[in-house]
Amino acid sequence: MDLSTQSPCRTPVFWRWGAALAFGALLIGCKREDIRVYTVPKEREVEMASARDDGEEPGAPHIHYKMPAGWVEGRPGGIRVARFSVPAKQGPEIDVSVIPLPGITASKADVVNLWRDQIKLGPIKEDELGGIIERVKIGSEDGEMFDMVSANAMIEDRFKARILVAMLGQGQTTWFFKMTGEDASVREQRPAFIEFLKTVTIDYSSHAAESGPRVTSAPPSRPAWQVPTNWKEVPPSQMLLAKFVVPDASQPKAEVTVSVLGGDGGGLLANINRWRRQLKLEPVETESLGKLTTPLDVPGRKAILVDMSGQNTNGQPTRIYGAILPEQEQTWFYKMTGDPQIVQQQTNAFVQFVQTAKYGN
Amino acid sequence: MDKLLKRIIAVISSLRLTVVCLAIAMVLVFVGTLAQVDEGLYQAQNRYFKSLWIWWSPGNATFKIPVFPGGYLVGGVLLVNLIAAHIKRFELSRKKIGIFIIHSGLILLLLGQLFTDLLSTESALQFTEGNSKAYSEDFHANEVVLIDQTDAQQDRVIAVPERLIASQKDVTLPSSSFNLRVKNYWPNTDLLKEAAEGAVASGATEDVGKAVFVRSKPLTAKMDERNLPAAVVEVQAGQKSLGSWLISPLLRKQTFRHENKEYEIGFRFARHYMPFSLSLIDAQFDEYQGTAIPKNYSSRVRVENPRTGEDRQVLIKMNEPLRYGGLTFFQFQMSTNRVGPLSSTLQVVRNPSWLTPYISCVMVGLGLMVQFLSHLVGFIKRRSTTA
Repeated sequence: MDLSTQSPCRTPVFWRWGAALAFGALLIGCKREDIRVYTVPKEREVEMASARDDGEEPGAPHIHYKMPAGWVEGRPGGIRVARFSVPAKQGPEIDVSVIPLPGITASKADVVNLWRDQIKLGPIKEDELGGIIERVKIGSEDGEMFDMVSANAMIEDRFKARILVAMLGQGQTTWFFKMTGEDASVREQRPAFIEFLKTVTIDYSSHAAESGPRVTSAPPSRPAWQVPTNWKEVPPSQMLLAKFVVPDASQPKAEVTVSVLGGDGGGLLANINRWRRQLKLEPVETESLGKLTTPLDVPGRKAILVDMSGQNTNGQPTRIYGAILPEQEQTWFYKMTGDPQIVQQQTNAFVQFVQTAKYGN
Repeated sequence: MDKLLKRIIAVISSLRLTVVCLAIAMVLVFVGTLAQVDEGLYQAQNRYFKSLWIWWSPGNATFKIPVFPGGYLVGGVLLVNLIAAHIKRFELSRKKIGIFIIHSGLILLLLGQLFTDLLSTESALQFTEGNSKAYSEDFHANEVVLIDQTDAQQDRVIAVPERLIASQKDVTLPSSSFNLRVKNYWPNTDLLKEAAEGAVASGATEDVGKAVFVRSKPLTAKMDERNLPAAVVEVQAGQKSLGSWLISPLLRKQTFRHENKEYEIGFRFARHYMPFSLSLIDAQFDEYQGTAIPKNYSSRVRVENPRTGEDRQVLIKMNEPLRYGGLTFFQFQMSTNRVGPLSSTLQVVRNPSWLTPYISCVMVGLGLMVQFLSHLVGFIKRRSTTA
């Protein structure tokens, strides 16, 4: 059967219609956006866009300052309330960040060791701090400054890295002013940094009455715990919120400590490496974190468990079984340290202790 | 007249034109792909593929000349050529039914791509765990908005595309007593608190912009950056000026009152609202053990549609998108911070002609099969007759 027929498509009429259709398609192509008017339900969520600010978030603690020549103001974000970049003689731009952290309970040495760890310097003890502290003026108040330089090339595999950190405690909040960059460039900017610190005024006043402060300055309150019956609470040291010992017949063989740091507490990697140093273990890189950590279900939160074994300062086998729980403005650290066997026996009790903790607002 | 028409038809239906178009298309794809290195994907796509001509400016000249056909022109001519050639040579016979199906499939493929280009939109929906959103934000487009916030339940939004602001002409806002007078516009900026080299005082008379300095930056084409425009606009109610505001996606919300009504004014990433909302219940990211290489990102979202009363949970994973309400939600990005609430970004694609490539492929496959089988059957018949 032959279906062939004289097609109407061959007539000029068809081509005229075809041209009209093509023109129509072109018109669609030329369609342009215009002004739109519409209604939407009011937003109930806290918008991320509100944080895209010029740095002065309503009601948040902030600083006033005089910016040194050549510095370029950047966009603050996360826990930073101000950020600058400074052109460097060599290597990448120098970064200057201002970070207020409320409710820090860690010791000064622990905090300094977090910065030192970033440039692969070994930890120092509290009693060694005196030798490296420099006194600086932060506004009208007396602050402390630490100047650290890496032992090896860390930037672009060619330059050493230098960190200048000035600290100022104000009530429950500690302010950090941190300059990071290539060694020689940071050294050159050091006088400008010190001058900048002198011009700083810290302002806790609210710029918008309707908004509460984003960074709370209230001291951390103890969660409500269900403490295992065989744990005994003992007075915590200055940097801790609580401390428990797990006694056997004669002497404690494991201890459980709870501390809280502002923000992310310096980051997961730095804290895990701090614990590793306590076990005389080599520090690890970010890539290895997956091997050392496992997720932990805690109601309403995401937490991780860390399990590492090494030696204590006396060379005895020691195991750390820890949990890290982040909140919006602070991070909780639970750590059980001690004889590996005792720690093994207590792991379930520890996990239950962490999971049943109830936090205040 | 008929002679001229016949000549035109002969040209546009010639196979020579097909070959020329295909050759040009090959060059275009090659050059356009290389250009993405310097110009970025978005710019290169617009310049080489989503255009009728590729324009070039000699030296520092202010004018541009077309130097090569763009993707729309080549694709359009190819489409017209294919249809014309088909119509001219078309004979509806059983013998050629396969070729007819193949050609129809190809035409549908070309048309589908054209409509995808013209009608599809891509945007991002970013939320952190616990957050809910009923809109996504455009990857490139920005808009100036004047929002009447007086009503307790809903906001009335007038959104002006950046194109109109960039023209720096007065903008009459429809269904409103306000006009916008654009006093200044910068397509990409840094906003500074203090004067610095290259920065100028904004010139705004109201709110936060009074103390802000604007530094213009070259337009960026990098994939991981976007242009952040700023403008100073004067709001006029009739003949009366209510003041000038510096507006930018970098700035926080700015409001003003007029005749007992509260308004918000801003420059934001253009929003695409949806008639339903998505809430991020849980975000997960897995890495290959012992590495930082992502293995799987997933977002458990709650879909709430007040129109249909639908309220259900869906798991969106890499390569397992959610298709809902004419939109496709792909898992796009994930904050890799191991601590703290996770933030997930979904790529939201609206593509009304997303089915056309599938249908085209089926048609072309079917056509090839019909054509092959008809030849095969004929061959076998001839062979058996000869035997």
